[in-house]
Amino acid sequence: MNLARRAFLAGGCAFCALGTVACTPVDNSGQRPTTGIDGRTDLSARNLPGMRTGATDDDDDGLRGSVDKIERQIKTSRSLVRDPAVNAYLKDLVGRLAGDYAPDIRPYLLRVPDFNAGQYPNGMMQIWSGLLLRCTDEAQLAAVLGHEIGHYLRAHSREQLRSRRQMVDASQILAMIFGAAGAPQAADLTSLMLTAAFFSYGRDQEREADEIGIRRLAEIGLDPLAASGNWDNILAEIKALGIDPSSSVVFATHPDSAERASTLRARARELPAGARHAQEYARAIAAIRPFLFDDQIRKGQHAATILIAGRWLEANPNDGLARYAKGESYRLRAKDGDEEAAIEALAAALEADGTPPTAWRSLGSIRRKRGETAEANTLFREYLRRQPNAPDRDLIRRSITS
Amino acid sequence: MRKMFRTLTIAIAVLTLSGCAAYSALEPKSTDVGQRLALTPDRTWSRASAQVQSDWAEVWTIDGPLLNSFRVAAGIESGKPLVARRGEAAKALPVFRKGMALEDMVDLVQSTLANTAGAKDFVPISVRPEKVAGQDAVAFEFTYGTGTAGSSIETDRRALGTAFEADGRLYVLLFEAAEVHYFEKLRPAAEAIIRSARLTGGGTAGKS
Repeated sequence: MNLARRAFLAGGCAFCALGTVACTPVDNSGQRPTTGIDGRTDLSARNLPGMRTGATDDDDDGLRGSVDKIERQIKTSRSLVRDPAVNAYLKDLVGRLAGDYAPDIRPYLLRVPDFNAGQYPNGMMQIWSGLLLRCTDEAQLAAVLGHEIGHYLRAHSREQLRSRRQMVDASQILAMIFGAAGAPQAADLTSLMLTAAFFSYGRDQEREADEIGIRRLAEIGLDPLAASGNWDNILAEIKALGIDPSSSVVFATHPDSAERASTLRARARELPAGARHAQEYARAIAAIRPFLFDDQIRKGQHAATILIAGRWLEANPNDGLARYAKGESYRLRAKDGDEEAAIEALAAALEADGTPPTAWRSLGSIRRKRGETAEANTLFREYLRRQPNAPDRDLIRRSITS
Repeated sequence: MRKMFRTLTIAIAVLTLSGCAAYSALEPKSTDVGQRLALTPDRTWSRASAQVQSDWAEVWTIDGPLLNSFRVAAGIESGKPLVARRGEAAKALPVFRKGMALEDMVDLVQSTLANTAGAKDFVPISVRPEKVAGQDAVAFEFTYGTGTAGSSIETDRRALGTAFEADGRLYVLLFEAAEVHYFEKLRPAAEAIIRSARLTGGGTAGKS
C-alpha cells in the first residue's frame, strides 16, 4: 500500500468542526509500545499502534476522492493564507509534533476568524486564522494541533464513518455537507456546526487525542499546561459574549469541556514543564497579525475581541496592535463607559509599537463626536500622513475641512 | 413505495407552489420602503417575500440572490442591527449607534454581511462622501468572498452601496453580486436606485 493510502486509512479528525471522519484505534501490528518520558507509553509517532494497520477498504475510495477534491479547491481558495514565513512556521511546528509522520500531514492556513483546526483523513490539515489570534504562544497552538494529530495518528475515523455510511454513501454525505457549507448566502458557522455534529468524536476518542496531544507537547519541550489553558480561554470568551455554549462550534463537538480542561491540567502536572515560546510565536505570525485582528474586529463580537486583545497585552504591554484592537472594540460597542475606555486604550496605542494608522482615525472620530474639533483634525491629519492612500481619504479630508 | 412516491410528489408540489409565491415583480416605479424611503428602479426587479428572506427590509434581485441582490435597511433605530434576527443569532450582530461616523457605517455593513452571509476577506475599493436623499452619506465599494474554503461554490463577490443617518435613524442601500459578470452587468441599475432615493418621513420603521 502506498504511503498516501495508508495515511488516508489511518483517518483523521478535527478539533471540532471542519474536520472529519473519526476512526477507531487499530493495532494489528502486534507490536508493543515502548516506554516514554514519564514511564508510560511512548507516543512518539513511530510507536503509535494506529499506524501499523494494513486494513484496506475499497469503499473508502469514494470518501478519499471527496476529500482530495476539497484539498484541490483549498489550494486555489481566496481564503488560503499564502504568507511564506507563516506557512513555513506552521509546517515546522506540525512537523515537530508529528515526528516520523510529518511528511503525511499538510497544513493549510485559512482566513476564517474562528477558533478551529481540522485534520482530514488524507493528511490535509486545516488551521483557521482565528485559532492563531487566540493563541499567544507556541505551546497553545501546539496543544490544539497536537490534539488533531492525535486523532489522525490513532485513526479515529473509520468506525464513525462506517456507522453513518450505512445510511448514505460517504462521498455523497461530504458533497452534501460541504456544498451546504459553501452556499454563498448561508451562514458558514451554522453549516459548519452541522458538519461538526456529523463528524463529532466519542468521548473516549477525544480523551485519547488529548493524551497524545499533551504528550507530544511535552516531548518536543513545550509546556503541557497550555492544553488546559486553551479550554479556559475559550470558556472565558463564550462567557464574555453571553451566548449559549451549545451554539459554539467548539462546544457543540467537544462536550464535557470543563472536565477535560481539569483532566488535562492534572495530566500536565505529571509531565515535564516546558517552554511557551511566546516571543518566537509573536515573531512568526507578525506579518498576518494585522488582518487577524481586523477580521476579529469586523465580526462585531466586541467583548471577545477585548478579551483576546487583553491576553496579548499581558504578554506584551507595548503591543500597539492589541491596544488598538481593544480601543476600537470599546469604540464600536459604544455602551456606557466604553467611550472613556476606548480613549484610554487608543491613546495608549498611539504611544506603543506596531500600531496601525487606523488608530489615529478612530481616536479622531471620538474627538470629533465630542466636539473636540482641533484635536480630531490633528489626529485625522496624522492618519492621512501615515496612510496617504487610505480608501477613505476623501471622506476624512472632508471631515477635516467641514 | 407507492406511499413514498405520493409523499414525494406532494412535497415537490408544495415546494414548487411556494416558490411561485416567493418573488413578485417590482415594476420600475416609485416603491415605498417602511414608509420612510422611496426608491425608483429603472427596470423590473424581482422582490423577495418574507418566505424567502426575513433579514432585510427589502431584497430585490434580477437573476436570483445567489447571483445578485439589492438590499435595503430603512430607518434602523439606534441600538438595533441592520437585519432582523432572533435569539442567540441576534446577539452576535453589530448594531447601529446614533451619531455613528460615516466611515464606521461601512464597517457595520461588512460586519453584518460577515455575521449573516458568511462574508469574509473584505478588500476596500473606495469609501467616499456623497449626497443621497439630500443627506450626507458615505458611498462605498468593496470585494469579498463567501462560502467555505474547499467547497465547490466558494465565490468572489463585489458590493457597492451607500449609508446615511437621518433623524437619528440609519439607512443602508446595498447592491452585491458575483464579481464575475453580474456585478458590472447590474452596476447601472443599482446606481439608478441609489440616485432615486428620497426620504418620505414619518410612519413606522421597516424591519429593524
